[in-house]
Amino acid sequence: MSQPDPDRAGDAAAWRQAYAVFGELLEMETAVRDRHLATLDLDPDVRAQVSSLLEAVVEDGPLDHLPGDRGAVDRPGAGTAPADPALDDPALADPAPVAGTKGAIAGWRLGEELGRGGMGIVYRAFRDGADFEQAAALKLIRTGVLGPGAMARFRREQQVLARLEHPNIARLIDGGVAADGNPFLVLQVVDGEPIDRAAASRSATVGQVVEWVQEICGAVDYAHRNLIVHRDLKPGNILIDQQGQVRLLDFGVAKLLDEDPEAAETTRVLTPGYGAPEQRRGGVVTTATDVYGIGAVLYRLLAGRPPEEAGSTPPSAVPGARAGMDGDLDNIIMMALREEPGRRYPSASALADDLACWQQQRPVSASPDGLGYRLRKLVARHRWAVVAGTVAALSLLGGSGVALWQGDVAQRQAHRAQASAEDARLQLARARAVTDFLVDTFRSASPAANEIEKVSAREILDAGLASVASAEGLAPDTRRNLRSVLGEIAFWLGDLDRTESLLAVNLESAQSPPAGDAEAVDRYVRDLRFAARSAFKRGEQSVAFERFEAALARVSEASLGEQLNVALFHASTLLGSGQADQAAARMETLIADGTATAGTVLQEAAVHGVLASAYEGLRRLEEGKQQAEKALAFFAPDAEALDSSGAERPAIERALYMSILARIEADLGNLDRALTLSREALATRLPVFGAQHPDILVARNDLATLLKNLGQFAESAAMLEAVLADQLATLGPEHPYLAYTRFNLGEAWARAADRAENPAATREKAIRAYRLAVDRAAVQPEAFGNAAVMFRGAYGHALARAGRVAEGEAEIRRALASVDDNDRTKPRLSVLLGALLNDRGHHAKAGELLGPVVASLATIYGEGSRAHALGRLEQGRALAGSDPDAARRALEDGLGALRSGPFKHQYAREIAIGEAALATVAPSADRN
Amino acid sequence: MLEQCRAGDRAAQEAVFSRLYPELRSIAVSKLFGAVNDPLVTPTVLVHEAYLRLVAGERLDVVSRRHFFASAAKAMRHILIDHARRAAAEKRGGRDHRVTWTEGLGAEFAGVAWLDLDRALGELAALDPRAHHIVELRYFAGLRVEETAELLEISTSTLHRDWQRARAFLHTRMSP
Repeated sequence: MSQPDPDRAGDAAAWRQAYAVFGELLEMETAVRDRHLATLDLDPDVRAQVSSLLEAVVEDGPLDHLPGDRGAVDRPGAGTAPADPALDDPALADPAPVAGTKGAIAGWRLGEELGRGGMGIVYRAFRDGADFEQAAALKLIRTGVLGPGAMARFRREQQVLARLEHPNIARLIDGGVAADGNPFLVLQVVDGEPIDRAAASRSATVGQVVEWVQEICGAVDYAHRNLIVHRDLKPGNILIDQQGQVRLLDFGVAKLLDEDPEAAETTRVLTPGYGAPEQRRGGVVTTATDVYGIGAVLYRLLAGRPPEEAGSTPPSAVPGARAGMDGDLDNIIMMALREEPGRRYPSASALADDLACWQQQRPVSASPDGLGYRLRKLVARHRWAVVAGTVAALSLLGGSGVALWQGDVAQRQAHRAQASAEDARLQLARARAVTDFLVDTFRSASPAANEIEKVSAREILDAGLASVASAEGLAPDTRRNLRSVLGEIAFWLGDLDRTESLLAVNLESAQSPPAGDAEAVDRYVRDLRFAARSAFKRGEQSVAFERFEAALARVSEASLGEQLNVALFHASTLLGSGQADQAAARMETLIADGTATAGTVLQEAAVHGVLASAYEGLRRLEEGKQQAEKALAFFAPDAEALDSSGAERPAIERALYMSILARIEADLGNLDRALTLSREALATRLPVFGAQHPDILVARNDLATLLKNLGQFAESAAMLEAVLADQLATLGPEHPYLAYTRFNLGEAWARAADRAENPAATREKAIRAYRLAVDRAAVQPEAFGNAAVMFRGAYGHALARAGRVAEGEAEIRRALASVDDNDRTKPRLSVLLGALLNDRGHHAKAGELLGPVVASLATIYGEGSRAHALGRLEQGRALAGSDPDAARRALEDGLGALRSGPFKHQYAREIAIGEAALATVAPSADRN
Repeated sequence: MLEQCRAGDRAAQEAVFSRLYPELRSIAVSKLFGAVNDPLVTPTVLVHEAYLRLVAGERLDVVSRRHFFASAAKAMRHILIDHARRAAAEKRGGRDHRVTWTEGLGAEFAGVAWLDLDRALGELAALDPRAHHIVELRYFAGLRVEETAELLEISTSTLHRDWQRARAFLHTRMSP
């Protein structure tokens, strides 16, 4: 209470010193300590602290009562079975006969000594009841085995053990601490003989032995469900009583005698041959330890010796197979005896189940290592990771977020829609089904999904391919299933060549499945679906649609889930090939005829998601918005539970629909909502996919575009610079996406320049970004299409704005020269040229150029469109000197459209220029 | 992830912790602090349950296991102390910082002045980091002497000495 507070610096130093001195003193003999302490020159406070520390060494304190204990993991020698006189290692210190205890302990009268071992002595004991005399075995624990701190625990646990009531378990009747401080246990006495001797004396058949072991499994499983592990299963602890019933002794006794931290070193006594590998290593003891123990006993009973004599290597088969034994039983034993606890049977009951299969001559789940083992292990342990990894592997090819102008919007949307529709299409649900399938195929031995480690789907794929390649004697059907699943995984991983090769084999070999075989039809249709989609992604459109046709021919025989999946895939592909109308029609049909609602909730959401994308591509924005919101409604907090297995899954799907909605909202001009949605979607997906995932890069790019549209040019540019860096890192410098990002970056910097502290430097950044985009596109113009000329046009425009007018004009003219007269981009490029001419004061030329251009813009993009508005604006500027009225109309047209549209921030500069021009031609407006 | 820890990757260790903490917390809340107390379910049991679930039978090398148990011990310490702190707040007494549990947890927990222990452990960490580590592993992750020594790659006699020092210090700092 009056102790110094180490929080204060001086006291902390004092404690530090006291602690150091105390440490030294501890190394000395107790007798020397005081003398030595007296010789030290210490501050009185420090001395007092040292003394209190020394006192604490011998006092009982809070740390002596550990909040938890796992128990002795390696004390199998602890329990000397009352009815099993086989003693523990005789080399151990002989337990001192406990003086003064002989006679009676806590109401128990001691009889003859039944045995003794490392932990104590076992006596026959009797309690005089009112009506009867109860005989039992009393185990007196050697003094000192339990430290003082463990005593309370001993009492408590012994009560828990006493609750174990099972016909095959010898009960713990009583226990406690005798008057002299020695703990004791009283166990039910079983009249019987150890199972190995019983097997010999009764010439038990293999079938009899298996029956006994099943009883053992039942008892052990019961104890496990009560959170008690035996940890010392061996023939000596398993008796066959006079009724022929199995009785297990010493349940959890080893744990009861767990060491105390202050107690002497543990005596590690393992029953030779029966201790599990983890016990020999001093590892963690679990229920799997008992599974090993049961396996070891079974091995002993069948092979005549324990599986492992000290120092030997683990057995690989039961030697000297007896009559009635076969490979399956051998496999069962070997599975129970596996080195790694997690690869044994997950429970004693699972072992019993397999033994039952063996008895009924059904296939057993145990099989030698090899085929599917890696897969099973990976999948079982990484169920979630498989899902995430598979999603992460989805490459979003569309939606590179190129903010080309309106003319390209439809194309861009179609492109994006393809990707997002596919996203929406249950990528995760599919991945999960794949996983489930794998798990089922290989009958996972490990039900506990490991959530901590992540293994990439690619690893699983590689492991799977390896096992398919190496597996001998695999049933053709299993092989087909495996290829099917691996093909899908490869697909989600973007490894389209592998998908193709795996599925092609299946499709060739299984031409057309018979009508009655639902499973085969399902697989056939599914293979076709993935093969089709994969072909489409590889650019083989006609192959893709041929395969879809083949799938559609049989799809009515497939399961409902598969029918929906085919429809969703097909629609996505239609969208991707520019047939948004047909895609929309398919989804509308599904909704109209109720099929959509018959699938899973996630599938239903996907139908609406795909439809939203289709409408987006068709520019039916309001309807698209409705559909996206419908898809999202499935994820509302009050919506019925989507999937209890993982919150991440719905969250990610929700994010996908949010990003569709965000794009639609942006196109509708609701930029703020779009920004909110985009940000939330990105925040959900980022932790799952990682910043460099293609999806995420696209999403970041889209977000940057939104920021630009909102007039936050510098923020947009900063974000794009980061995207660019990640794309460089992940895609390499040659990837076409980089050109798009650079173009977007040019746009952002060009617009940021007007407000920048150093406009010239910022313009240079824009020019450089555009330049790199132009150069890249020039290398491979066919990969860029219209985009290449728009890159060049924008580049020229930026050069001109930076004062390099001649260069700029040359670039724009070069761009114009490279496109056909009926190309949609031509009039837009012409507007850029017109702007440049206006800037240079060549208004007559500009006016001449822009007249027909504006007319075609109105035709192509519509009056009031962004492209048209920009054209009108330049036309107004051109006419200002010659025809003020026409100029005013043109300027008011252009300004009106730009100001009211979603682009008012983005075109702030154009609006300002237009307003300045309007001021010169519209004095009448002021007078009005 | 545990394998990444091998490389001594601190971030990975923190990742282990952050995966572990909610997991342990949710089990702890239901099993330790729930309405029905099973006297067999102790924090140690939970730590090992978590270990089995997370490691799923994989045999980890010593470094990975050290990371696991270090993280688990830390997580369990946070959980217990946090619970105690909340219990203290609920007492509304405010001034009484020496919270002793007498209910809500099994007998094993009663009588431990958790907040004092936490504070004293903090002091110990500054004085003797290894001993502090040992206490965490033994006390909160329930590792046995040998396991702890193996994980920390020290001899059991060293461990005993450290433990003795730490124990005396903590008792001294916690006694009224």
